[in-house]
Amino acid sequence: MDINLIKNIMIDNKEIQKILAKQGDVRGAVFQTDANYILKVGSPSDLLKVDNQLKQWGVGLQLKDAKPMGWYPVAWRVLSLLAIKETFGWGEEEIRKIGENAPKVSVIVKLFFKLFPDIGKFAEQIPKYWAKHYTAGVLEVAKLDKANKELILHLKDFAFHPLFCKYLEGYFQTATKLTRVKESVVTVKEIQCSFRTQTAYEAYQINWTK
Amino acid sequence: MAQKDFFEKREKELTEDLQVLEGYIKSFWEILPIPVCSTNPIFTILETGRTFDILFGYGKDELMGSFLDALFEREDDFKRFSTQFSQEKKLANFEVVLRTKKGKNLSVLISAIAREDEQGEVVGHLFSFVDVSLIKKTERELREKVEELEKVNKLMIGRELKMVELKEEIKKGKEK
Repeated sequence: MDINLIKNIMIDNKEIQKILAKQGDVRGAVFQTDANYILKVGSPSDLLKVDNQLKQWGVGLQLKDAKPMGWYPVAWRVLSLLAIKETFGWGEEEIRKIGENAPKVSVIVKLFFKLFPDIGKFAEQIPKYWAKHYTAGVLEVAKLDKANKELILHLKDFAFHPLFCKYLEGYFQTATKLTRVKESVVTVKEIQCSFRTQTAYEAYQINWTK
Repeated sequence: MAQKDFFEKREKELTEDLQVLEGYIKSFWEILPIPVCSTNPIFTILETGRTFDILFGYGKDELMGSFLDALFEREDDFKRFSTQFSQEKKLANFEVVLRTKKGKNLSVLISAIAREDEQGEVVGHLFSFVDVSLIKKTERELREKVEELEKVNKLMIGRELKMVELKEEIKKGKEK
């Protein structure tokens, strides 16, 4: 898939089947955070449209009814974002905002994340946080530079769809911001994408000011 | 194979137990009649109860990611509160003035407790708020009333004494 066409191309059935064939599970909490965002910016009928789109793709799940601690195929998680994107004609930046919103309303974050203000302690927890959510992929801290306020994460064995990378940018930004003081500005960018460069992992660079 | 089945069955049971616990905790946040909220170690709000939202006039999840000091009317009060709480990790009935979303002041008593993990590291805080605005208002009104009555009483006593004085003068005058 040409990453530059993400914005414009409607996903075809072949791509959907390819995604559905990939292995791994995710906590239901992620669908609830998607539903939360849709209801925040839209309406219950908008949510219904997304549910219907998913149903057309063979995903028998209503986002709001997902059990937060339950396990669901990761493929459904990716298709949820694609369904939202196609239903509303949104671009990557809106999907990134869904990621930004998610940690604030996720029950997994509230119950399991230890949001230590010490970035080192927070970074130590990151692989565990991923494992709380997903059975596929491994999220590692590749580099932590406290002096320059920079953290590099590598996500391995998790190449589902490039749209999900944008979601994760937003997610990591808010999750990190939740550990920083009010005045801190946190930025995140994907610096390596396996869909672009045919490499074995995605890399995210996180920076903060305080 | 038997071991694999055992672990799969165990995992399923644990997931179901987690779901039950999650539902239980969620109900508490919805039903508690006392306004409550939770924060991370640096007072970023992570969750608010329904009664909290109603008291402070915010929508559901509206304050997620905001800092607790946004509720305090005076910055100094927050500094005083957070310093004392950080030292003691537990605080009961800290009286302070907070403000609602619409800017209305509320006198509240805050109680708080730090949450720690297995290593004794603080991983967050829980807060409860008791709105004593009405009690403070009634106390104030009562105080004003008492002051008013004391003034009237003083005045009346003064007049009584004056009357007694006058009567004495009249009596002396008559005797002369």
